[in-house]
Amino acid sequence: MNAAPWIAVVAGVVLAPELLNSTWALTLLSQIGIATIACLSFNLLLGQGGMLSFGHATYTGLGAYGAIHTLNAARAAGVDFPVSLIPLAGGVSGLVAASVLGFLSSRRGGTALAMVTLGLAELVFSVALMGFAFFGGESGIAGNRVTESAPWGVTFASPVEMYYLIAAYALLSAVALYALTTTPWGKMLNAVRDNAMRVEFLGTNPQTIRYRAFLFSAFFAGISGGLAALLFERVTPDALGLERSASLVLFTYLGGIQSFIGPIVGAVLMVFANVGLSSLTPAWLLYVGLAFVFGVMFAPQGLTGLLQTAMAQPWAFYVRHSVILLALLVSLGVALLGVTALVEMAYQLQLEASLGPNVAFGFFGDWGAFQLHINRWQDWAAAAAVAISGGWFFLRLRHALIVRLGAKA
Amino acid sequence: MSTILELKNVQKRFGATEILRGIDLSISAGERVALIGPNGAGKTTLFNLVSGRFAPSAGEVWLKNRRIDGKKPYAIARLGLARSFQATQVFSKLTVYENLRCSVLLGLGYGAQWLTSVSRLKEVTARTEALMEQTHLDKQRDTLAQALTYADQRALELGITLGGGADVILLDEPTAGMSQTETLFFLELIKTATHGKTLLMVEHDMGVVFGLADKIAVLVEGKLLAFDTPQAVRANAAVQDAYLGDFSVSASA
Repeated sequence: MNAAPWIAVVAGVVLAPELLNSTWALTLLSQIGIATIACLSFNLLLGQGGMLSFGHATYTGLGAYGAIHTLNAARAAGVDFPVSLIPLAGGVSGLVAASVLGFLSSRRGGTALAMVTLGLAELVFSVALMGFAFFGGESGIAGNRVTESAPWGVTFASPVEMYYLIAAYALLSAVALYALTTTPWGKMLNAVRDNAMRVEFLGTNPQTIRYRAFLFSAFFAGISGGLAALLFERVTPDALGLERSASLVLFTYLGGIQSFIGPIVGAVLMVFANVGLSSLTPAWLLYVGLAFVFGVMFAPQGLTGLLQTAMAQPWAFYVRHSVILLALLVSLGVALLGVTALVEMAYQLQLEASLGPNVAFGFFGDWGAFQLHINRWQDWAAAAAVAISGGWFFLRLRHALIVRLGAKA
Repeated sequence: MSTILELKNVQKRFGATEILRGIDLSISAGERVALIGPNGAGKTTLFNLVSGRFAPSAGEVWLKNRRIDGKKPYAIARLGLARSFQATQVFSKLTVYENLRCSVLLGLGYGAQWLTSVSRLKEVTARTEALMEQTHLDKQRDTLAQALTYADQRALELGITLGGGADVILLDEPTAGMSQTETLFFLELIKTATHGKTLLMVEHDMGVVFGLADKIAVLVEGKLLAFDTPQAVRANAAVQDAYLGDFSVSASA
């Protein structure tokens, strides 16, 4: 394996706080680290094992609860517990949960597995909402990561220290999860994904291979949850919710499930959508949904797969097809502009009372700023026309490109 | 020679339909047995019972002096029995090399090992390379199984079956759908690869059957009509009536 990319990644992770010295950026990076572990652990199931789990937040969430309770218990007992090891308590919580729930989930593959994980996730979530003290009700369980003892002067009081803790866990988890895929068991997991019946007739029970995948996956998911508990110092039942599970499926898929780094790309997208997009527009979840549908239809190999395909082409390819590729990008941009305008106008229509009839668009500050009025049918028609024509050209050009490439091959 | 695989009054019903009506069959170690019979005679069902896909409705199956009927497929495979499938069952998104390596890994008992990288297991690499040469797939080493030609997929199916090092091999129509030249080539492959092993093979091609088998078992309507040497089976009037005559007509047509 080539070491250069790994060294570059480590250097980037270590130097990031020096380059982006703002609390906001650090929190963003910390969340990306946490999401990276979660998405990578999820992809051990989906990408490597072909197991579509709709309940992965069960493990991240229970890991978070396990971690925060360990933290609080250690403090209450006056035990001098190193806070940097608290995420491992989250990992163990995930592992314990998977030893039971994963056992039930991994009996069968395919659709049955997806249904069982969905049911179990819903079960755990509703138990969390029933008001047991363990889950802390709606306000959840709060904790305080800053302790009296400060090993090597580290208290985790500052965001930088917390960032480095998360970065260390993320790197170690990524290396461990990658290493797992290269072991005989990891290869068997791929084989079970492709043809479980064949594996069974070769001398191994596919259920045990799948079960072990759940144990590993839940351990790392639990670590991710434990880090989140430390970062936010509060865990609420939302952490176990189906929305969280769906988000893991969505963004891991968008990032790309066929390569190891795909889920990392997905994690970055997830945090930017949750933090960035959600502050820009109230319709952000709708855009995420649209992106997912679009991704499944046009880029089933995910963003990473798309980039890998693009990078595999020689320069001559881009020179020869420059016009059509450029037109493809422009038409995609036009279609997105139209769709965005329609979505924003529809949302405004619903919220007119509080927001007024105008939808303001601005690109790069004031440049290109314009307003749409939801009470003028012309504006609706214009937005629809832009969306439809952009989409039409996109589909036509895409088809033309495929025909051209097919004719050459 | 000692008996390695034995069926005692094996019966199988699916609902009210009787597929196998009491099969007694005893195969010695190192024997090559062809299982023939018209469509629907129960050949594949017999394979499924022996390899553990289903349990028999009645009767017993013994492998190496152990009773195996009702055991799970993986438990039977671990006792040294491997089977191939009539409809190719390979790992479609893995390369040829990875496909064969899976079988080698499981055969050597490494399937659950998660502490070493697979590339460090020199014995696995060596055996996989040898298996690739043996099945003449070494030129397609990095081709995905789903991208192989039909004949190569059949070779891969055979390689996966053999890779675990089992000494009792069940092949379900290994040459089905192949051209004449491919069949001849494949026959040689099976001969050399199963040297010294016990072979039970479902086959429709009579050339293959008479060229390869030490013994032929004829299955008709769920009953064993004959189990003898090729010469004796060819001369058997009942077999000719029930199957061979009919077959030679349809084969020459």
